[in-house]
Amino acid sequence: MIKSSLRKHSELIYVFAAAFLVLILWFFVASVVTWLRDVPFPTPLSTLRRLFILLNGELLLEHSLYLHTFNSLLRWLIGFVIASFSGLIFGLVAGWWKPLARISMPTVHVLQMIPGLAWIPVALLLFGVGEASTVFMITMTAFAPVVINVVAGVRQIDETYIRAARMLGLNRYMFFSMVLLPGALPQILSGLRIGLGNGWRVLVAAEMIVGSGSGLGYAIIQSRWTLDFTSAFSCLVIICLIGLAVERLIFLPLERRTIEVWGLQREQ
Amino acid sequence: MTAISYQQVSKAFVNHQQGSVVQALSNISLDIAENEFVCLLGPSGCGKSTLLNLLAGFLKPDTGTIDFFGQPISGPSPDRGVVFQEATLFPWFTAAKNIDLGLEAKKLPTAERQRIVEEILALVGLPGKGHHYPHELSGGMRQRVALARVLALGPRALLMDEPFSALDNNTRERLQDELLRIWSMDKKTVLFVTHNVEEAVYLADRIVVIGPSPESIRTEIKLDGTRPRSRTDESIRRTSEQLRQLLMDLPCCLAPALHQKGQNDEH
Repeated sequence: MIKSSLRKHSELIYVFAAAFLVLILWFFVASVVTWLRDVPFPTPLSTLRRLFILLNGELLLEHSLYLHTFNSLLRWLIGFVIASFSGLIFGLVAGWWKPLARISMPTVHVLQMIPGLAWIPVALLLFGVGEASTVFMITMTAFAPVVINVVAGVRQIDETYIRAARMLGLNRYMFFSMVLLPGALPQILSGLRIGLGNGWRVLVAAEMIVGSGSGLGYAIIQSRWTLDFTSAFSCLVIICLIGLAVERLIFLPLERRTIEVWGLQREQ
Repeated sequence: MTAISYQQVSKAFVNHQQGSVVQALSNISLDIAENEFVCLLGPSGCGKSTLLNLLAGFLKPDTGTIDFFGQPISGPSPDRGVVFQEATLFPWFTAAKNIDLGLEAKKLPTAERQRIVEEILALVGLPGKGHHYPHELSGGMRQRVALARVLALGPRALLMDEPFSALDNNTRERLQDELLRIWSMDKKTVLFVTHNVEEAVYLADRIVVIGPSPESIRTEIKLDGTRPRSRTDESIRRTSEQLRQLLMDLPCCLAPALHQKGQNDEH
């Protein structure tokens, strides 16, 4: 008991120290840049002040910060759900049926190499200016890592599990949902996590081409013209916090739980 | 009635790294009667497991045929329940769910499935332990669940591939007794692979000694069918001694790594 509470304490200290390091670095860069170039580089303090004003309801580019955040989250979620569902199903099938993997995986790896911004012309050509283009970009950047990890996950499933499943007479649906899916789950989770992160990061680029004029990425891009850099930094802070929260509060516990329940830790 | 019939079965594996071909079994013919308990005994890498995997339907013979109750084998089936060396229970399901999977695949009604699972758990000496996950069970308990999973399917034959070899001596002997107890209640055809002489002598109606190809079947010993046997009985000890001498004279066979590789050569 004492030991675990001690460990919790030191955990907490590390979390604070890590956050402190970010703020110090940020402050240092802001000070140096302001001094050298004489431009108003937002400091942690000025950003925080601006963030509070925005959170209090002041409009940014005609919308509240809440609406910007909500719209970004919605686009992200739609893109991610499309990418993860299609990636999961495709990955399971390709992981199991080797000819499909041989034919399709080179394409998936090529997709993986394309940087998020490079999808802009493709998105514009396919969908024009609008929501569909944004979602398309998020989907494309999230899809490849999901597929690659799911395929790898299925491949590493122990042969004897597959033999056992065939011996038990499982039908195709049971085989995919009760053997391949849970067998590959650790890798599937890390694929989803990478996909989610990729999608979130491409959001800024994706919202450059959205027509409706809202979203955190849109607000950041617009600061080029409005020179409202502290607001842009406020949006950036929100993006980071949300990304971090999803990773730490959803994916890490989920991964930990799978490992615990399956006793995988013991075998490793 | 003949339950299992190997006719002139050969199987070779290709070693892709060296490009060489390793003959695991050549021209094996073996008949096993219904309800007979047969042990395949031999050193590692002689193709004992290959023989079992062919019957299970995990592998296809290069030449020859294998009949199961007169029907040629076309793939794995719940009719031929396999207990593997490692328990290979699905770690993401509880013991009960692991047993239930095969019943669900058979589309039995839920109430009946529950009844069978409880019954079978009690039969293998684990009543009320169904809610445990495999990693919460000891090695011996896991093998009991693996046996239960197969028994629940009501197979016509049990195929056991060194099922107790990873267990400590004490647990192993207890599980051997359990297996015999369950088997004598409802006799099934059993093909039991082992490299342990005492195990074979204690369990089998008939022991088939497997050596390296091309002379795969070296000898057969028929034991009298009385059970339970005493592990220290004089005639048992003599048979063990005789078998041990025989095994000593057999050259060692394929390198294990090679053997493993070939096992992936699926249907």
